[in-house]
Amino acid sequence: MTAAGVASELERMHPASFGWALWCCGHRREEAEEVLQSAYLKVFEGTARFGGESSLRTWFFAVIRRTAAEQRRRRWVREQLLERWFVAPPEISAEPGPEAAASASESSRTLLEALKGLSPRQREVLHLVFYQEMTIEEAARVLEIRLGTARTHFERGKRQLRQRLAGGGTGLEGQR
Amino acid sequence: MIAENGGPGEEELRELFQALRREEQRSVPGSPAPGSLALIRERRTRVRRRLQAWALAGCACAAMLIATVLIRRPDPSNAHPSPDVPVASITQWRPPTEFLLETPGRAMLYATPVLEMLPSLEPVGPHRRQQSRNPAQTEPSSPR
Repeated sequence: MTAAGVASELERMHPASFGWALWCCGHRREEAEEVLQSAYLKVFEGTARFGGESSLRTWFFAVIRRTAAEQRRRRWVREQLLERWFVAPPEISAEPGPEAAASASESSRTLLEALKGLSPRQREVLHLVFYQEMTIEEAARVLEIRLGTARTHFERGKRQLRQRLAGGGTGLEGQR
Repeated sequence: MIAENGGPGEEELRELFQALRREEQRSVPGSPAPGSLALIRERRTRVRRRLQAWALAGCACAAMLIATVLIRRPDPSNAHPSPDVPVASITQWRPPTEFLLETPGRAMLYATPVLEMLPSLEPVGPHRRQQSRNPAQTEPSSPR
C-alpha cells in the first residue's frame, strides 16, 4: 500500500480510531486526541510501518493502543520525578472520565458504569467486538494476545457485563 | 434476545455499544490535515531539542562539579604532617577525658609522705644490735 493510500485509509478510519483512542485513554478526550496525533505522527514519520500482515485497521489500532500505553507510562514517570515536588498532579483513574458521562444518554451511562467493574482486558475485547465490530481474531491481533485468551476474556466479560446490567437495571427490562 | 442469567443478550449488548458509538462519534474532532501534522511534528521537535539542550547543560554542570570535587580533594598519600609543624610530645599530651581521673584523695597517691608524723627511730648499728641480744650485760643488775 502506498503512503497516499495509507493516508486516505486512515482518514476514512478516523472516527473509529478516535473511538478506540478514547477507550484506551479511559474516555479522557484531550488525552485521546494527543494519543491519536502521536499515532498519526508515528505512521507519517515511518516510526510505525505497516507490513501488510494484517488489515490496516487492526495494525493501526495496535499502534494506538501502544501509543496510549507509552503516554501513560511517560506521564507516570513525569509525575513521579517532577510534579511530586512542584504541583499536585490531577488524579488519574482508569475509569471513564466525566466528559463521557456528561454527554452520554441514560443507557450509555449505565453501560459505562457497568463496564467499570470489568478488567481492562475484558473491556478492550468487548469494545473491539461490539463497538468496532471486529471479529475476536482481529481483536486478539490488536491486543497482541492469543486467540484463545481473547475468546476467554470475551466470554467472561460478556457474562459479567450481563450480570451487572441485570443487577443494576439498564432500562432494558421494560423492553423485554 | 435475553440471556439465560436474566441479563441482556448478545444482540442487546451489541446494540448498547452501537448506541454509545453513535453518541461518541457525534463529537469526533476533525481528522488532522497533513499540514497540521507537520506543524505538530515541528513543535515537538522544538520541545525535544530544548529538553536535550537543558539535559546537556545539566550534564556539563554535574561533570564540572565532580571534577572540582576530585581536584580539591586532599591526596591521602600526603597525609603525614610536614616537619615544620611542631608536634606535641607524647609525654606532654593529655587526653581530653583526663578530668575524670580527678578523684578525691588523688593527690595523696602522688605526694611523698611526711616523715615527721612517724615515731622517731634511732639509727641501727652493730653495737646496738649486740646490746639488744644480751640485755643482762648492758643493763645494770637489778637489786634482788
